[in-house]
Amino acid sequence: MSLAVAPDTKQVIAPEAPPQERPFGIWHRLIEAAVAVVVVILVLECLFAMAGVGEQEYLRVDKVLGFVPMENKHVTWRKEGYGSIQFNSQGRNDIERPFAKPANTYRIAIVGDSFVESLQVDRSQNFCTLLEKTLNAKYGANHHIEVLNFGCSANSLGQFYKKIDTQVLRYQPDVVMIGISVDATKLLAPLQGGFAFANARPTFMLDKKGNLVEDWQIFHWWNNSPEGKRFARTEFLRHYSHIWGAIGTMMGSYSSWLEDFKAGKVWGWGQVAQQAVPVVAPPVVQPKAGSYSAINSSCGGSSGAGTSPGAAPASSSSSSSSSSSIALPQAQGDVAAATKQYWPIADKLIRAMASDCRAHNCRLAVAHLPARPEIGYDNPAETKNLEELTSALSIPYIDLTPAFLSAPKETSLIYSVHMTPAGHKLAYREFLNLLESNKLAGN
Amino acid sequence: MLFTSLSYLFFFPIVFVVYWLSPRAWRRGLLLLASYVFYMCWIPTYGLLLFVLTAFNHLLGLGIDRYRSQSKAILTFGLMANIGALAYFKYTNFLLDSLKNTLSSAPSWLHLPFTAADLPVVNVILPLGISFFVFEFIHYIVDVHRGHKPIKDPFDFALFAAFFPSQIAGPIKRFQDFEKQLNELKPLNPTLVHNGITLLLQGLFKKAALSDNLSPLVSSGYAHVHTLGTVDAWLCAVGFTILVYLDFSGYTDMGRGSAMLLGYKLPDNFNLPYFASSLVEYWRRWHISLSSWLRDYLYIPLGGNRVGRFRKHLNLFITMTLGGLWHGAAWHYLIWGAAHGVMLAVNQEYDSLTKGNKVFEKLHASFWVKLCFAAFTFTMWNFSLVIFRAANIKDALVVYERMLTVHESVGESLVTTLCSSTLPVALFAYVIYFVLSCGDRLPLIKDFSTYVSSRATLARLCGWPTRIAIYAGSFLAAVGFSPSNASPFIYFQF
Repeated sequence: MSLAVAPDTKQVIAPEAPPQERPFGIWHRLIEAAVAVVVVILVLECLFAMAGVGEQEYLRVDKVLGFVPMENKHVTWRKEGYGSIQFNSQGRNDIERPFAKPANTYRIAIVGDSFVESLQVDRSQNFCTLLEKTLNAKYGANHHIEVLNFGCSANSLGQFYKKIDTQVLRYQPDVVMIGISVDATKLLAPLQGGFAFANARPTFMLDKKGNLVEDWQIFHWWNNSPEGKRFARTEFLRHYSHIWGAIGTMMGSYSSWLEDFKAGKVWGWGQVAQQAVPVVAPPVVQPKAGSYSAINSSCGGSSGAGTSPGAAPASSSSSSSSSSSIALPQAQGDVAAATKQYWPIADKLIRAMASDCRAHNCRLAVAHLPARPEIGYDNPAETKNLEELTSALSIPYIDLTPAFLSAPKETSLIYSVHMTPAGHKLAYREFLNLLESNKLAGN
Repeated sequence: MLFTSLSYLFFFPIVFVVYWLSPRAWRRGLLLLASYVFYMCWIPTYGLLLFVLTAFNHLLGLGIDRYRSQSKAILTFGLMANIGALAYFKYTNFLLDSLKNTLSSAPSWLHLPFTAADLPVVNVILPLGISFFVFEFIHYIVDVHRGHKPIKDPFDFALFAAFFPSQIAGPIKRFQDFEKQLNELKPLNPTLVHNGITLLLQGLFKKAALSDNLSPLVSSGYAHVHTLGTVDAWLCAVGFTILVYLDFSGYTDMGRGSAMLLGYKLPDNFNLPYFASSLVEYWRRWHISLSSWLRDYLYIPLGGNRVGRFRKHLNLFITMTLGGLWHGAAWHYLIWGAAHGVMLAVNQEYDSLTKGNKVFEKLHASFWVKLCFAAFTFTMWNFSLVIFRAANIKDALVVYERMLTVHESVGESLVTTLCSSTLPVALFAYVIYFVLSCGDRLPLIKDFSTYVSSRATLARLCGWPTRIAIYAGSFLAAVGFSPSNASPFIYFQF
């Protein structure tokens, strides 16, 4: 008979004898607790470090750009694709590069958001590396060509501008290419997506004369909030502790669960009865004129000219009385409406970047990163505006979306939002064409 | 509600605290309420199904006990009703789909009076755990018919049927054990808490850190069988073999741990099955509660092994084929069960041929031969699981072909995916834990009495501060190693 029950063996991992209270005092218990906690932490840290767990928090507060990747941080990225990335000493997904351009070197700096940062693939597979390899193979006989990656997740056009001004130009690039995602204009809306760390950055607006003005109010508001203070206090842990990173991921899951719970999605009987309530960001009001720092002022300072650190934005009544700025209504969600409202700022920022580059003897190129019209991740109005602007300013321009849409369907180019290794390959070929056809490739 | 979900993380501690703080007389009621909340949080109306089946079977049990002279008729009616309910929910879609496929491919010259389009469109959603609680009901009415006393108290019976730690995927309980425990409710004590938490965390680690990491790898392989290279095909097959154990035993551990924390002991379902040195032994160690159910309520009633040689093998074949069908309404499950029926018959023939032969007995006692037999058993189980896991027979044949002939992977190899996950380190951590905790049950280590006694000494030395730190660390490890997307438990679909 084959189907017999095995004797009820003890599978519980238990001590042979029931645990008994030791005849030790409180000090023994305290020492035991301390030793146990230290040993468990060390073991977990080692295991997590080996597996690359808890390395997905890698941004820190920066008084110039709002936030930047941590310097020398190792990131194992598994949210989308897979990347094991060592950021360099300047907090970039790149090898070490000296500020001073070595003799006989041609530098192309690529500025952008997470598309350019490329945490989803191995560094050897991202388009910057592929571009550098190919350019050196083709034109390396005359000079060495370097492609510098200045991508940072969630960066807005305003941050691109600040980054070019304060970091990129220090590397004396010959070409600066900015990669603009389809939601770039939308991201110019203050607090787009809510009161969060990713929105604690400099925002830009236009005054009555149409000049760009820089505002640090949201940055200071968030950084002086309890959440921001906690964030600052835990920077060491966020940088070095894998356990802390894992807890952060866990808390993220908890927040999502809580949202589902509130929406009644956790329980079967709540699904029909309740609908998820869309989360609306707290209303943002126009700051007073005095709170702006002029675009070329030293805005990276502690508080920005005139802004009071920690002060929440003024009330709507005070904002409406502002006389020197154009009141731009808050746009949430609607990409087309946001583009209409914020394009004037995007336009000014791109013009300012082009002007800065010209002043430093380098050329600006613009790439519009791939959209995904099939899932509604698209912004035709922004594409049209970019085409017109770059044409008017004679800035070399490429839109990657047509190439991505016409690629063979069996090749996966995008994970859910960002590019796969095949996507990077396609992007690099398109960039190569753009650079070569405009004599920007060191050719 | 998944045991690994955040909902359960809140649900269980509330149940635990309320349960132990409430007066003894209230506890069963509270547990029953919690079990229905647990079950109904998926599709609330199926709570009604559970309630109706429970009430029906309770009345049947009382009826069989009261009218002993007509108990066979009542039992037959009860069996038909229970199997009918199971068949409706589990096999309607399968039967209609099979019939539609047959009608669609029927030649036109047959001039059938109806076509596939005339068949009703029914999409029956399988109530979670129905295969398990219906088997418990069948066991109950059969045992009452065999002379056991029924459970008189309807609340006790309802709790037996709905007990949430074993409700969705077993283990399949025996009412005699459960009733006995109901009457001898244990007080909360440190050993109970320690054992319960250990089992819960062990199950969580198996499921969240190991199984959930393996699952996407295996799923992606089986979803694109034509792209698999030889190494990938083996990785996929072995991956699923490990996955199904981790997933199911992880669930069982969590269920047993939850039950233990409430003062109940659920039967064990696994006894290191992958260390079995024959298929007969394997089935004594794998899904023990189902194997013993099939033995007691199918194999023995068919005649068991008290019949002729051919009939014995036929009984085994029927039992295993139906056991395969129990896993799901699909041809590949049927073939998987039948294949095991044949393999077990071969195994039994080999055993009877070598029994009493001193040379073979000496050979079988050797450690290295045992190891070879264990590897062979694992390989056979592994091969059989390909047809179990594949979406259909065609895909299974492709995987077999890829495993047995040399092929290059198309696209990214699964090995790369495996290496980029947290699985290698999590598996390493689990193996260390496993050797440290269950070493005395492993063939190589079990004889080292020093090891066993030193482990016991170490366990005794660990006070509560150490235990709490280890619990917290284990919980963090399980959650830390888990991927962002959890996979549902495999045995939920059965």
